[in-house]
Amino acid sequence: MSIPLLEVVGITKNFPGVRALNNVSLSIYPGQVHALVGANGAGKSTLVKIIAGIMRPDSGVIRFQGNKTAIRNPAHARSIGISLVPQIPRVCRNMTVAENVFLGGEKKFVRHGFLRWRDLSVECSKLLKPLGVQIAPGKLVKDLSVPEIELVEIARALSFKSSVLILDEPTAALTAAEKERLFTIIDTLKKQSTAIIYISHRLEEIFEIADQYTVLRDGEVVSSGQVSKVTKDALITMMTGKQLSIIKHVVIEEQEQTRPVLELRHIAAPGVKDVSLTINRGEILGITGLVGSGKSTLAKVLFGLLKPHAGEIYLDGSRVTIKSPRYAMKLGIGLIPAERLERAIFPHRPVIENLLMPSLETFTKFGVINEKKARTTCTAMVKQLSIKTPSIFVPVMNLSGGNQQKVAIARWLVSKPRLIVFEEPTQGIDVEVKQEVWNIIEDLRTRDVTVVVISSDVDELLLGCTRIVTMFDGNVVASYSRENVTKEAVVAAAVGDITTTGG
Amino acid sequence: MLTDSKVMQKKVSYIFRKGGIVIALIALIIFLGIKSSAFLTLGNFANIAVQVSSDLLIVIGTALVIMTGNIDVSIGSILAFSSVVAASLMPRIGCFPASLVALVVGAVLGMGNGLAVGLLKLDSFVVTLASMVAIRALAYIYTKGYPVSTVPEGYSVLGTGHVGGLPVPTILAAGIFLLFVFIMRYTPFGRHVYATGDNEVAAIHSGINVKFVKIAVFTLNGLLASLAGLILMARLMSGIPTIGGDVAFTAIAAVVMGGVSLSGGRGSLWGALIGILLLGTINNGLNLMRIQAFWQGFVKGVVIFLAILIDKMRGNSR
Repeated sequence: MSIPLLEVVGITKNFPGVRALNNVSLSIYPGQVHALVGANGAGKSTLVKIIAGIMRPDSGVIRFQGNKTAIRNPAHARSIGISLVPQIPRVCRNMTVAENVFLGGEKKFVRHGFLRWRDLSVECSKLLKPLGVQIAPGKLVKDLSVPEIELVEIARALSFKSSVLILDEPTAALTAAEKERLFTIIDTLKKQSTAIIYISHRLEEIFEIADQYTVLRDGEVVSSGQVSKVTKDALITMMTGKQLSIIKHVVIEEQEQTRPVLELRHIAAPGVKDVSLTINRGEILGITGLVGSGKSTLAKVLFGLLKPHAGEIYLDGSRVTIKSPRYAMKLGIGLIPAERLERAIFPHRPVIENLLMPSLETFTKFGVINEKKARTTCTAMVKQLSIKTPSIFVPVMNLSGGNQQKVAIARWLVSKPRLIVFEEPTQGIDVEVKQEVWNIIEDLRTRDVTVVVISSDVDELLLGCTRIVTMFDGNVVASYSRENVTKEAVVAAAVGDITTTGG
Repeated sequence: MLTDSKVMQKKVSYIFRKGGIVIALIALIIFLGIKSSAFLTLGNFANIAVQVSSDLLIVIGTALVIMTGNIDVSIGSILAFSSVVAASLMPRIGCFPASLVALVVGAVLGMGNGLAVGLLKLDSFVVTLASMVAIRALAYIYTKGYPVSTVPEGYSVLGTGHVGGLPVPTILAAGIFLLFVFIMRYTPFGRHVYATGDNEVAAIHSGINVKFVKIAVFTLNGLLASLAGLILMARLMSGIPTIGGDVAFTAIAAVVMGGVSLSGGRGSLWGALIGILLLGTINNGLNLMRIQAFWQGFVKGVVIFLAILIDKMRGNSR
């Protein structure tokens, strides 16, 4: 093994009330993928932000190519060859792909004081080509799909000819095929002796791609070493600090009754062509499919965010028009949306408000909120779901992602709808919270709440759902009951191969 | 995990951070007290209270609008138009009905802004910029540019009267202020205002009728502006079409100085109150020190800039 390209020595970082990192050290070698593993709130994001110059450490040093280096800001980090591809894309949505890729680096395309747009486009295409995507450099970023935006971010990092590339949850929004392509790119970069820091909650990926690993827990390094000398179970134990079998198999007692709660008949909406689907009382229905298969459109239709232009919806046998989320809630339907930050969270508002917002009216007497009752309910909910927060009055953005998600779920436990739609409920969430989320889902079922889980993660659907349907190109193409389902069949149906349709 | 004492510490430091503007106000009072013997008198404080009361009404409405992530620059025009309407109607239909008409006019004009922002999804700055110009013009058209001095003698009670030794406009403004403090804290509507400003999409997902929230805050702003207009009219005993040219900007400055985030979702009415008290005290102090009127605006501008700068340096609004 050669000398480390990047060395982090004894980094400590405090936030008000929290020690995010405590004496963390890490060595990154050229041509290797170093996986950074840890539960939500373990300090991974903080650590890479410090390496990328977005934050400054309170103490500790960073050595780059053997020299002690104080990384001043992201531009400085990039100029010495450190690039971060953040978990949530930081792009200018109203600018073109090429403009985004070279944002801040336009200087090299200037000739005689003028920007050469042609060169910019050509160079951009050159960067995108090895990524295996056909994106026109002149396209606006807001017109791209989420995985495409991800690839633009990666191309952007590549444009800086970085020797250290940090990927924070790069596969969270990618399909299996796109993920494979990303891994090929990573392999190529490795051969060019780029050092890669790789953060992912999907532990399987780490065994697929990484050479070294470091486990963080509560801001401290608990273990590090070669990936080939560690097992998945050992990693999980180190991450959580306790023995935990990965996603305990949720026990499901088969119910005889199959009374439909909600029936969709020939629903058509933008992205959905002709969907007929019956959701039975007490079931946990999983809906999966690729990006663009129409599964997220279906969620919007169920919650009244999108009006279908054809088709009928029946609730308990009578026809309804779900015209707005407000009306959906009145009918007893709740939605926990994907993209938590954009669609679910009031970042600056306290936990209590976030938790009770949809049901505030039920806490009023003569139009005035009964604050004592509200606090009691909120405190009980925080305890029931073991939401980690210093108090119910701190802004929810101070909580880790997994705990924010629990707050978003808790909302619907307070207002008690009879049908809850979970959209990508465990995206970007660590194994421990994942397990808790599925425990909540199972618990809901015992309380006679029907659950629909819309997810790209087939594995979790297989473990927790009583029935799984697969969508492809705007249609439901397959439906599997629990007994006769295999992962292969579901995945095959999701890419349009429905020769193995089950019951 | 945080222990209780750490939570307490956080709370204390929070108050201190938010308290920056309170410290500024106290410092200013001490400074003026030393500089001018007339400043630290009961009569002078009553003066400030009267002068600030009409502004406070505007500040309440402006704060609500800003908390939803919008802005309203048209209230000065609404104030002027509704007050000239009231002044002209008073001899004909009586004080009380004319005042009521003025309040309705203010609310309807505000609602117009709200409808454009809430239903047509237009940018609130541009919408209210347009209505600011148009409604001001209406005030000129209605009065042909002249003050309307047909306000009956008795109406001055609203501007300069006293009840139990306290100035009427101050009692009115303070009462309405406390009412809104209550509304913002203890009603779903108050929480919905914050939610809409903090994350509109999430608010929709929580079943909040964000259109209603937006229309409501603009309507309330118009209503409060016309009430402020009536108070000013009662003080000056005439409806003046040119009045209130800068009230919107004074109110926005006070609200922002008070820690309400221009991007919405954060801040309190108490902060905004301190903001307008600070500006009112500066006005009063400059008058007492016989600073030339032209310089007063300059000084105010510098103070607003410094207050927001200090706030930023304290890491208050990120």
